[in-house]
Amino acid sequence: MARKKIRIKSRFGEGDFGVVITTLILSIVGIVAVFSASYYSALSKEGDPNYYLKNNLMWMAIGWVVFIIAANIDYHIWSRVAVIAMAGSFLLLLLLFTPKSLGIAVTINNATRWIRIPPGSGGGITFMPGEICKIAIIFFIAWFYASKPSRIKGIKGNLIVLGVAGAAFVLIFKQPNLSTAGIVVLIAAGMMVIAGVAWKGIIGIVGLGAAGFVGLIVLKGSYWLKRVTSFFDPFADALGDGYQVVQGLLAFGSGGVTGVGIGRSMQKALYLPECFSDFILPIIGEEVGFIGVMALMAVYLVLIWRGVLVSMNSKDLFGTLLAGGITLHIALQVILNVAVVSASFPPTGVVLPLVSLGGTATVLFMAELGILYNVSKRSSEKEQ
Amino acid sequence: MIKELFRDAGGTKVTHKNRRRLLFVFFIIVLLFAALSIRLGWHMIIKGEDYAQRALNQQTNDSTVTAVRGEIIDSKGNALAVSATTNTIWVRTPTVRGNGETEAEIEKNAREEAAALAEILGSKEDDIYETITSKSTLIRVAKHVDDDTADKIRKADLPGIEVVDDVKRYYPMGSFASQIIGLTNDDGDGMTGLELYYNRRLSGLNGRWITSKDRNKNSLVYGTNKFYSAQDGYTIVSTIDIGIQYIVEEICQEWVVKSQSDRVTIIVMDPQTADVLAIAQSDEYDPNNPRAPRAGDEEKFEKMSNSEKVAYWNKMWRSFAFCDVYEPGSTFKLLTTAIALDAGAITTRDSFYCGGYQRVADRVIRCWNTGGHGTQSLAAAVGNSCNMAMVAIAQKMGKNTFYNGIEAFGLNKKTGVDYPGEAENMMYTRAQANIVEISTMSFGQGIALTPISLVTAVSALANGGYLLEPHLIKEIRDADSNVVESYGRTVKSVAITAQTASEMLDIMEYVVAEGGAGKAKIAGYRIGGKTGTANKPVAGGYSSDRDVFASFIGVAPIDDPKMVVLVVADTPKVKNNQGSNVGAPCAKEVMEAVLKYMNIQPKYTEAELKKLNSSKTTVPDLTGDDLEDVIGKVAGKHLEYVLSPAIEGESNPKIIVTDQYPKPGSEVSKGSTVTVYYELVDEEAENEAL
Repeated sequence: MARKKIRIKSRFGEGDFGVVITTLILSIVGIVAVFSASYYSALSKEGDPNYYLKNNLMWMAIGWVVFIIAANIDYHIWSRVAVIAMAGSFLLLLLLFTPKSLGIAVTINNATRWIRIPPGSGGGITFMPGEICKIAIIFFIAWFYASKPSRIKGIKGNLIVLGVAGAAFVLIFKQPNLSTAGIVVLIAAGMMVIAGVAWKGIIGIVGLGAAGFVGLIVLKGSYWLKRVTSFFDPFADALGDGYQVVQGLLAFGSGGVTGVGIGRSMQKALYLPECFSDFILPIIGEEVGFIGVMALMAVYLVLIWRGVLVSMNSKDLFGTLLAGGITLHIALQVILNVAVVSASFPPTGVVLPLVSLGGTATVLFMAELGILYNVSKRSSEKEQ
Repeated sequence: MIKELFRDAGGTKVTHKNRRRLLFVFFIIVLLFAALSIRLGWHMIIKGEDYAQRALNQQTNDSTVTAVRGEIIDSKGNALAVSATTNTIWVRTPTVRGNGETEAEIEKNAREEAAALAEILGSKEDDIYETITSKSTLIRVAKHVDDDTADKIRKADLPGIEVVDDVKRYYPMGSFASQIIGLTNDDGDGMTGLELYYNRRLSGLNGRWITSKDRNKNSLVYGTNKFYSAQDGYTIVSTIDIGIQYIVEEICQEWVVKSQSDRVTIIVMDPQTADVLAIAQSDEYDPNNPRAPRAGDEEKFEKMSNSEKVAYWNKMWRSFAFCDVYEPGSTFKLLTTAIALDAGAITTRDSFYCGGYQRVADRVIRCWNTGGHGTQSLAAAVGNSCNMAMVAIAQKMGKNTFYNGIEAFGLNKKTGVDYPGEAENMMYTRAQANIVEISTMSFGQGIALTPISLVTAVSALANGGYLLEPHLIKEIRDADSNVVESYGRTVKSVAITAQTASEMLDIMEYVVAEGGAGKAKIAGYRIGGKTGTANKPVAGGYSSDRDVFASFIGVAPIDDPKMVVLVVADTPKVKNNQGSNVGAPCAKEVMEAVLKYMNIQPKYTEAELKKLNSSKTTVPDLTGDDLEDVIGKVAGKHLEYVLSPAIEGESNPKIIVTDQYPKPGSEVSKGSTVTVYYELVDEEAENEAL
């Protein structure tokens, strides 16, 4: 347990080139896709067709600065702040339960998911504590297992992980934000798998989770049941609950194999809500077709594969779990987003990493990717 | 312990288990990616076309570009029917229902909107409120709104309110020839009259505008944008001449009052081309407000059911001249005579005896003059309107010749006039007709004709014997005034020889000059014609002498026929309700005014000039005449008459003149009164005698 000196390197090389190049490709795809998809709504709602382009460029720029910084900070620092990050994340989640009159918690569409800085009735920056929680739990679990590997096999240690993940789930679920809560739990479960928790324990957890999911639907009654069933046949209620999904499918169908051409989507003309955030993939599909969508999926898969390699090649377990958690997070976001827009999963708000207009979420993804890059850099150092 | 929490977790070994687990996780991720790719392929390739079509349906807007309906103009270029642009106000009710946060606010906003609209449109606020909050998504608030009002509504910028350009049919001449010009429905399609008959030519071809729209129905600058321009409708040039139409309408309205008829119909045709120059029907309607009941009918109309209203409108919009038949009565004698002359069955030199009645098969047919006309020349027989002479003529030529002639005059078929819903003439078929039937048909009973077919047949007498196809339009022009089609003189067949036609004109002139149609006489012009007073067929026989069609058909001038005029008065209630008293003087007014309008100069005979100058006139011989002859002859000499003793009550008494004062041949001042002495004819006694 030798202490490592924390070094800040100014150089950018030596790490996994695949991570950088795929991140760059995704950023560019995101800028173009958001510009094209948002053009019409920006023009008709904001009066400026470049409104979201500008917004996206700003966050993308901040994201790259953060990427470079994170890429140059020795990732071991995250093990030292893991507990504080987790505790801070819980504090932020609890802040959402403060009275609205304080102006800290922001409620949109009956969901209290955002915190405004500085507090007030408007202006400032809003961000989702749920998003921070995703990173915090990656730090926490990586630290928790790596700092004492015996916890991987012991029941008590795993129960603590489950307890923390469960608490985060409940707090986020209360907002309500089922998708974020679900992703937090899935990241935790995935990291337990990577850490090497015994299969019977994993199966027990997965079984518990599935039972919880079913129980939730039963408890929450018709609203949730309707949301779940609407995805089986979105066309059954094409103007009601199924509207967004149906409009997304119509966009996919309009694109066909080769697409209608970049910038020529019709569905973005106010037909498809959220067409430049959660539902950006259907617009991409409409403009560049099945081939284009598959290419984008391939880029994600390459990034995930590089993430897996970085994780496998890490010189210590903390790096492996950190890189594994980050890779899992990105993979889960992509999978859930595609599952929702392809009517394979009940509609839930999950952004497509770097491609959807994400604001603070984009910056957080870039931070994670920067950390991933740093892990790859460290492992290459080891080989020298 | 606390330090423990912030310790660097580096240095712990990564095991093969970790790597295996990572590969396992990646394997799961790849599986999920593969499954989702298949799912996307399903939507984008397998279901792609279906989804793309659905998307296209919601994205494109296919709107009609309305073609401007062509005008109907008269032969001199005056507008009879034009299309004017108006505005229609629509409301999208979901916008109104969504205007506000709470229900109370929405209602308040809708109330305010209704009040604003009501003020601009000048209508009731409650009605508008009901409309804009109704269940239909898109509903019309007002139509035929002028441009100023429409601009005000546009400026008010009310939620959900849309102003749409629209085309309204407008009839600048009002009720003028309303049944002929016809009407269009709300969609701008012809519904009656020329508007219907020439609908395809008038309506043109609508264009289409296919554009891509966003969800709020705003046009997109990209996507589909195809414009197929509309082809505007053609202009129809009618044969109607509004100068003549105006004359005829005035006289028609004057005579429906003067004769106290249910309806007076007047047709003026150019016999050389069969162009209909004017048609007036006294019971007109306002085509700019065609569903309003006629004056006096309002109360009755209010109580009608919808189907009764439709029947009422159809009756009001119906043209008697084309769509109804009536028994022509004595006017048909012209055709009987022409057919027999043309077939050589009789000549103009033949004479005919009338004993007042005649037995035909098992029936007794009587002349209207039960005393009998004695022996008369052919011209006099027609002039006296003698039924017995006609029976003799019909029997002489025989059924087949008679029917061939009726067919030669085109009376067995529709005339083919360019008017929708032309009625068929009604008569016995050749097989059904026997001696009794042809005997009564000879004087216009047991045969029912459309007024247009009678005018067309008589035109053949006036144009040298040609049966022409009558028409209401001269030509069709496109939007650039190029003639697309023209309709001139169309000869269907030769009905009679020129010789016969000329003989018939002489006979017709005689009837006006010397016979019972004296009230049609116009100084300075040679006028021909024939009166008719026909009882209407009713169940089991004929109507009373009070319920008749009084008519006159005339040709003017005889030396160069420019017009054939038919006047038909339905049920005149004046005391002297005969054709000679109602039809002839009415037709005279028409012919006199139209001859002047056509700038045809009078040529006075020496006798006429003398009389014009002298103001004296010769008393005609009335002895042996009946009342109708008396009326005609006395009027022809510009005299009045009085019966002595006067007959009270009965309007159309059967009399035979026994004596008169002053005596025939006396020179008296115009306007003097001739006292007529008479015997009443006892019809029943006559019947017994037979």
